[in-house]
Amino acid sequence: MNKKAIRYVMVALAFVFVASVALIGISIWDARHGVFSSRDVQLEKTIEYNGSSYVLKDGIETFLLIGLDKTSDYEISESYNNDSQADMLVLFVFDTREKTCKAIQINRDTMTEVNVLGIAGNKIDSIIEQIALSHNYGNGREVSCRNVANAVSKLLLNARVDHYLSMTMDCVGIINDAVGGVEVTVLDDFNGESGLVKGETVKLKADQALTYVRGRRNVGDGTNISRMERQRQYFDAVFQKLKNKIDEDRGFVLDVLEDINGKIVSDRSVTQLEELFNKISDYDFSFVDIMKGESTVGDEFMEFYPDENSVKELVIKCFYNPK
Amino acid sequence: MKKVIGLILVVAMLLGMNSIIFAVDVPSAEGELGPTLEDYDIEDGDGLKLVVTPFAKRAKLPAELKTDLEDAFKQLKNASSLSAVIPGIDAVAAELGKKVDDLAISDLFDASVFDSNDNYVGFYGKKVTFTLSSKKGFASVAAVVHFVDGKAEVVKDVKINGNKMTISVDGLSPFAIVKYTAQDAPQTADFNIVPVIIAAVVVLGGAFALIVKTRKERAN
Repeated sequence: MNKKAIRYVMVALAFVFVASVALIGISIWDARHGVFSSRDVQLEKTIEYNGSSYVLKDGIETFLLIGLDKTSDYEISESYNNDSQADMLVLFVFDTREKTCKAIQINRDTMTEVNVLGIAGNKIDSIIEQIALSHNYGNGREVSCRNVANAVSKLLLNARVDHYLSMTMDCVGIINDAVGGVEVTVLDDFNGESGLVKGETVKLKADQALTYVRGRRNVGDGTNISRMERQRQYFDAVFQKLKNKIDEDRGFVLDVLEDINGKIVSDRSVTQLEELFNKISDYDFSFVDIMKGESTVGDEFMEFYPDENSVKELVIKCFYNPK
Repeated sequence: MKKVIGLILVVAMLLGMNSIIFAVDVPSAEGELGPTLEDYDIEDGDGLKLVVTPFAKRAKLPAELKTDLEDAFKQLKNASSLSAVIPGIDAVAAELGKKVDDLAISDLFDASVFDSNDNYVGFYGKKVTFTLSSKKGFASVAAVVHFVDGKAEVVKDVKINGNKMTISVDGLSPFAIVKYTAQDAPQTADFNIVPVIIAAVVVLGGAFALIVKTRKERAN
């Protein structure tokens, strides 16, 4: 073997050695920080329901939107748990072949299996509780978001959650005003709050928008179901306005993302989010039916028990084609 | 009589229709940041009170308690194994028929004595007995640990009754609750790639050493 060849072999071996050490380090770091399963699971390839067979679609991508019950000025201390809850949950299911986006709205009081995390961020147990509380475990940022994604995935029969974005309440007003205000016909009686009168059509300003999508107690019948109906209505309206704005100006999404950058947590960078939103702006958007189930009062709090068949129907509608 | 029955039925109907209004006052669920203090007894503790503060709320503690809590957190979080920071935890695990790797810290909190003006009284060396409750319950608690002079010790006097746990100690905080993990809780990936990588590194290192040795022999 001549000297040059030996030198090349030594350089190659050194490179492999360094890469191996790096891989070991990453593996140990990953093991210490726990394993989050919502990206590693998969729905069944085929599913039977009501005498019909369905096959899993290809080209599906999912994105979980988590609306927190805090504003961005709320200080999160470095901790293994936090008191921010996932008050609003919507799983967007993008069919990249059909160019459609179907949205599954999840009731924050849905009783489902939630992972309990220890102080190292690892799963130590699971309990049945309101899905909104899944965000309480973890650091209030990405660890908590992944825990919410895990809970959503389990609820939806192991549907994979590819990406997530959590946002604080004040993002609603920023986005609302960025699209020039959002027009809705008020669905519920707000008892005069924020100038919202049932039946009137109004162009919501920032603080009105937050009241409209967030208000529950002392609004209408006071149920989360009614709030979810208003959120769906608002989402529909915002999506249309967003599409129009993006058509007018491809840089619009980036501007909005920069405005809310300190108020969101996502596994996607700003650039990746911009690409995603620009891509789906051409998609047909619709909400699937609200998950059916039973709302009851537990020991202290509201509890929603989803109907198994309703969950299956939603999953089939979004993820499967008839065989 | 018919009128009375009719009246009762109307009231029942109205109550049924208004049941949705009762639901208005039902709050939405909130999580807990740590166990809740239910009761306590402080030896010679006239005019004193015990305050339990979860780790996430440590900002409101006096500086020395906050520092102790953060030091405990760093120790526990960064430990390669609980055995490295908690003497006696191996024996606890063995008694439960578990391995130490099956145990994990679920909660960390401060429990300290304050006077009636909310002033921290400093280290309290007398016996304090306190009872905690938790919505998650204490069924899987393996041990309770407290820190004495910055070092973790297993608390001997711990009694669990349903979702209540009573702890008796001389010398207090911080405290950590050790639970045994659920059987399917993944602590590492299902396929452990680390031994494979170590083996690859050993083989490559050996090949590298052989090449160097061969070069030296040729040079000589």
